[in-house]
Amino acid sequence: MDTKTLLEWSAKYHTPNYGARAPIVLVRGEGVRVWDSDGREYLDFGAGIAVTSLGHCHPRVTGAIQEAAATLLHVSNLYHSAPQIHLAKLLIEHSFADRVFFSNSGAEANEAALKLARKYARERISSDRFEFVSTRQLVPRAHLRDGRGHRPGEVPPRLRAAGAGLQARRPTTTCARWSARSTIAPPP
Amino acid sequence: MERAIDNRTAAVIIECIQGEGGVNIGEEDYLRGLRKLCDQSGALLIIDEIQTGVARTGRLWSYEHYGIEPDIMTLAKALANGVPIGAMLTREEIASVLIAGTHGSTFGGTPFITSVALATLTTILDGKLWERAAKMGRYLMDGLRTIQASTPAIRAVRGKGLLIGAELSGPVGPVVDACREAGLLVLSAGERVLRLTPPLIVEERDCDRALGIIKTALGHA
Repeated sequence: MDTKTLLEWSAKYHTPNYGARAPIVLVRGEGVRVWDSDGREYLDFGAGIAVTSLGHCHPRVTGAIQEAAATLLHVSNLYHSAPQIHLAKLLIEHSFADRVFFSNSGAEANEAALKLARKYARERISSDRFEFVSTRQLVPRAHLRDGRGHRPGEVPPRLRAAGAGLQARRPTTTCARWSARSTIAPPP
Repeated sequence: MERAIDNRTAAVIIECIQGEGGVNIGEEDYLRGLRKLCDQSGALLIIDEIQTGVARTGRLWSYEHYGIEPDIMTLAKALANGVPIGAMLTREEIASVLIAGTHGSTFGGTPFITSVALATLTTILDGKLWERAAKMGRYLMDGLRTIQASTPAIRAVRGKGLLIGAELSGPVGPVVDACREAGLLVLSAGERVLRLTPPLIVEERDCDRALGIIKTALGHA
């Protein structure tokens, strides 16, 4: 498949949320380098978006993928699995934390964090505690996202539209670049 | 922030270093003060380490730069080097409210994903790659400051480890395009910040080549 056709199909079939992507199709990576479908080489100083910290196709990562793919891909959380337990232990041993919950993405991790915080506050401190304070462009990630660069004082549109009782209230700029308050309404 | 936190606040959620927000580096006084405000008010402090965590900023977790600890931390991005994963970590007392049936995930933490994350994290820990991130980050920022000295196109260079932003005097879009056309993929953060987040294994010669391309791209933009 030639690059031109792929780019045409990409523009035709995807939802438009990523805007005008860079007009290249990446096909291979190794270490700090990636190659496009026309064979051009690039230094990857984005690493995804700060994702591929060990570089592309790191042998230990590739080895783990190959081994896991040939051993056991998926079981539900109704059961235990050794890699999950080892990873949990390693994270706990190297951080402030005592417990870990695994999700599929950062958006889901933040969703779990916000849910846990509200639940903890309501059950252990006070039923009036349901608000979150954040800094501009921070809570905005997927589920609670307002996109980039809303103006100070504006009600972030996607916070307003996020449904489920989510509403922006009294957005402030009191903390310079670190401000904008959004709240999640108390349950009915 | 002092006025924003009150007895209705369940939690404060922040990044110590804002990635998407323009590579803004939290000041030590600010973050320590925020920790204190949370302690006084009873609000939980959630630190989003999705972009900053797992050695990117020169420490394993960015909160280590500030001598504070969060109540909850979130991770994703680099934790499995490209295989999708997220994690939410917290202290025992807080975790205890997540009783059976209150939260869950079908795909979260499957053997495949966690095997890959385990290999990634072990490699990062074994190699103390946060030290490498700090060293290469200094090298890259020094190089950017040298360029800054020769052109008004860069207004400021800031970063920690290999989470680096160069604030430009003009729009970043054309610079990103020019870099790509010359063989370098870089990111932006907002309208005017060029963001660099290379792999932690990056070498000096890669940085030299990238700096050369950036310098040329700035000249043409």
